Amino acid sequence: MKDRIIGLLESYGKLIVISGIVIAALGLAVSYVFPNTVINTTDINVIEGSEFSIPLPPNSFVEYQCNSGTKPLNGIQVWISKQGAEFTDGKVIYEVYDSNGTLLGTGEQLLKDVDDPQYVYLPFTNMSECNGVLTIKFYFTGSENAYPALIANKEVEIKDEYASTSVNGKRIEGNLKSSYIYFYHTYPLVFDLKVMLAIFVSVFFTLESKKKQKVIKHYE
Amino acid sequence: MNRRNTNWKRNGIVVTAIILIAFLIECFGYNQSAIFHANDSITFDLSHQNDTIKIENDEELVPLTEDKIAEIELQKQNDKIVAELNNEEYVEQVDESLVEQDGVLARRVYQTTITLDIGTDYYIKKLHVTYPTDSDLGYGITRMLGGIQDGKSVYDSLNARLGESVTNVNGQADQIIISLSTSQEFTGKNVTVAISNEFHINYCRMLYLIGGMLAIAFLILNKSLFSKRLEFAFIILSLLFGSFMILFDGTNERSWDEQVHYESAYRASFGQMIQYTEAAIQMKGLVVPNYDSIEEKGIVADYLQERNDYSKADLKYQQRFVLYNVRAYLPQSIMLVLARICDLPFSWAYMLGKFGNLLFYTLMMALAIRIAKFGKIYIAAIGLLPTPLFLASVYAYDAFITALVFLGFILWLNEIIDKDKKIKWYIALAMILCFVVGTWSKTIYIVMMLLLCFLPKEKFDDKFKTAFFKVGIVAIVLMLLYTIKSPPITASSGYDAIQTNIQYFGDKRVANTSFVGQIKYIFQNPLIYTKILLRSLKNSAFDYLLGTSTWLLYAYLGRFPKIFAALTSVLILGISLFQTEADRKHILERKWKLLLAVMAFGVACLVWTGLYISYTGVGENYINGVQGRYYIPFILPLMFVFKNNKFKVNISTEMFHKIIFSIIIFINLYGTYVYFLKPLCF
Repeated sequence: MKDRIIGLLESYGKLIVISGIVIAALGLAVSYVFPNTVINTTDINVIEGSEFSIPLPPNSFVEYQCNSGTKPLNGIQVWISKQGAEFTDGKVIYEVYDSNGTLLGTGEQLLKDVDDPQYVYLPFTNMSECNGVLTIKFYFTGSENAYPALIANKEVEIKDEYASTSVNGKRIEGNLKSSYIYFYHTYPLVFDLKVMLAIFVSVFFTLESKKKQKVIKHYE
Repeated sequence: MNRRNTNWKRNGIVVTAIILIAFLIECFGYNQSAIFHANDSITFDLSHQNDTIKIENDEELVPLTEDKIAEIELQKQNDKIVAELNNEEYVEQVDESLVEQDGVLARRVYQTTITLDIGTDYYIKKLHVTYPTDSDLGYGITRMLGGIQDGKSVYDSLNARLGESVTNVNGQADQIIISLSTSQEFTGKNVTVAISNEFHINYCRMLYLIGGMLAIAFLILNKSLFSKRLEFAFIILSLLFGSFMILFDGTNERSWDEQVHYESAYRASFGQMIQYTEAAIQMKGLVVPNYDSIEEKGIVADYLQERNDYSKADLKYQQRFVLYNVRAYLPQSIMLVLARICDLPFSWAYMLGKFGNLLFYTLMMALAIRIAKFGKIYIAAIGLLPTPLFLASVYAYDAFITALVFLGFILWLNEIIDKDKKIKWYIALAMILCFVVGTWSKTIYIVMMLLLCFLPKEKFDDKFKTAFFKVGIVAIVLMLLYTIKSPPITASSGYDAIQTNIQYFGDKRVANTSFVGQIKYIFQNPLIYTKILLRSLKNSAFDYLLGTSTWLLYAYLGRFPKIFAALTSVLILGISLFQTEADRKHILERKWKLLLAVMAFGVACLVWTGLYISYTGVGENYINGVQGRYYIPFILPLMFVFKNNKFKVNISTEMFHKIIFSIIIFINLYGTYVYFLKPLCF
């Protein structure tokens, strides 16, 4: 049995090694072309206690100014409270502006799809543009008599990030409870495939050439 | 056929005799008190005091240490800051047990003495305390006979999570005095103390006795395995002594950072969703009560099983991709999965995970012994010494590294000996994979793979192939070494951003460490660092090459007495220097010995330097953190440096191997009994 296996390995050695090289090379190419997208949540202000609600009646707006850092912000997670009311077409609309006031991205969240309260992930359109100092403006539209609220707490120093919250243009003490959402591209198999490629290429040079094998067999 | 039948009969008689002898020793040796001094159990209920129970409380003021005072001050400051942040008024928490006396802060402690009057001479085998309490406590048990203390006091501890404790007393008394310290006045409410002298077959002890005697019988009676199939002898003894350690140590986490390694293995045993039961959370938090008697072993097992409900598990998510530094735990993880499939109790699942580590180690080492052309006894001897075997019997990655590095080295050595024979591609692949896979968790050892660059040119078809192969090896080594500085991009987003910021690298457990800072210091002061390095190597040479720190240490369970270091020194030097006739057929040229010596020295320097950079304060004149077990992977190559044909052993290979194994069996029987069985499972 052992001799049979060794015989097979010796007969098909070149094929196996070259296959290994090809698979590693192809795998590397495919890994780079189809990266793995990973969502990362960075908690900015999630401390429990001293929460309060910022109501969002019609014709009112809340602005949250923040800095996404070096990576584009792919969304924000905030607490939305329906304050016990039922909604049909009511929604929270949010718009993302850069430091010059240019609109970068928008989004909306139907309140009937949200629990009361719920820490909702709000993705932006045009996420790749939402980078640097940003202002996210929240407002409510709907036919109902009720309106939702956003939840904040009394934290004003948020890690090393700059953040401030304003209601109808007036800055308040405290900030929205929030987490920032980032997307990352990762290539988990790349390193393994590089090592695999290096290994099989090295092993390739241990393959005996067919000519020499024939000569050795002849003299044996 | 007749001979085979005779062997079977003989073996059957031997096994039966061993089981019988073990049973007799267990009964008349360890249970003789229950046979000859039988007594009914007595329970003292301290809630209802009577003539037989007397409780005395004494108050004592124990001055706090400076560290403790600093800790209390820090807590006060933190409480003030939290109150400020919450816009609340700070109200100082008063600890009534703290008292200031003569300007010194002291804690009020109640020294309680419980005197239990048995009334008659009683042989106390076990003492069982049940005490529902909020904090762990220690207690002492003193036996009195006719008003005079009999024998030494025995000390034990009671873990608050269990609320009970069983102590081996093994002595005669007509009165017991239990002394303990508590932070509150002891009232005896719901506290019971039970003394007993029951006949009880201890299954751990029985297994040890049977296994130990079988090992000795195996050594004496078997011939062929010790001469021709050393790998089977290794497998039998490795699994035997390793299993002893696993069974006796159970869920006690007594190895280096075992809770960290357990968590890695546990996580790797799940897919994307990890289910942390309460038992698993306590294991990874190192808060599971330890046991030191066979009864407590059962109590802890029940305690953990009650908390092993997957329907109440904490759920966490992880990437599907198995990270590089976790792959070494896969043998352990696979067994944990198997345990879950078989719905094993938590403690058995925990032990099965450890068994996965042992099994992988045993098989790889056995394979190395099998294929080695010479020096089989080197691998077998090192592999069976206490510390390497212990590392294979706990949650750790050291055994994984050792086994694969040894296998890779032996494959290389076989090629060196057959220098005129061309290397086969599958042997080259196996060699490389052993080093690459084996060093995932400790990349520094990958430099040992540079040995492949010294394969003779006769191994290859032509000089170009030789050159390209060696360049490939160097490239692989450099790629893997680079991961020390910059770990491969993982699927976990910002992790790689933090990891590449080596400016702040350094081990947070030691103050003032800095990766970049220390490297700068070394380059700015090369001579000073060289002195520090050489001094460290010199001072630790004996202990780390031959002594207890590398071969005779069971982590926090204990270290063998120094006399055993003499034994291991004789063993390691003896088998390195003395060669059997079979081994003398293979000659290792001087140039290879020099290469191996240089390689071993180089890896030792790298290990010390690695820890100077990551685990020692910048600019210190000593190196922190290097442990003897870090030397194990390159001790095997170092032993071959001493291979020679001058020191001859004029006895048969079988006899030589049996002498070596008899020493190893003795060391392991001693270690398993003294550090595992007696302190944990009696």
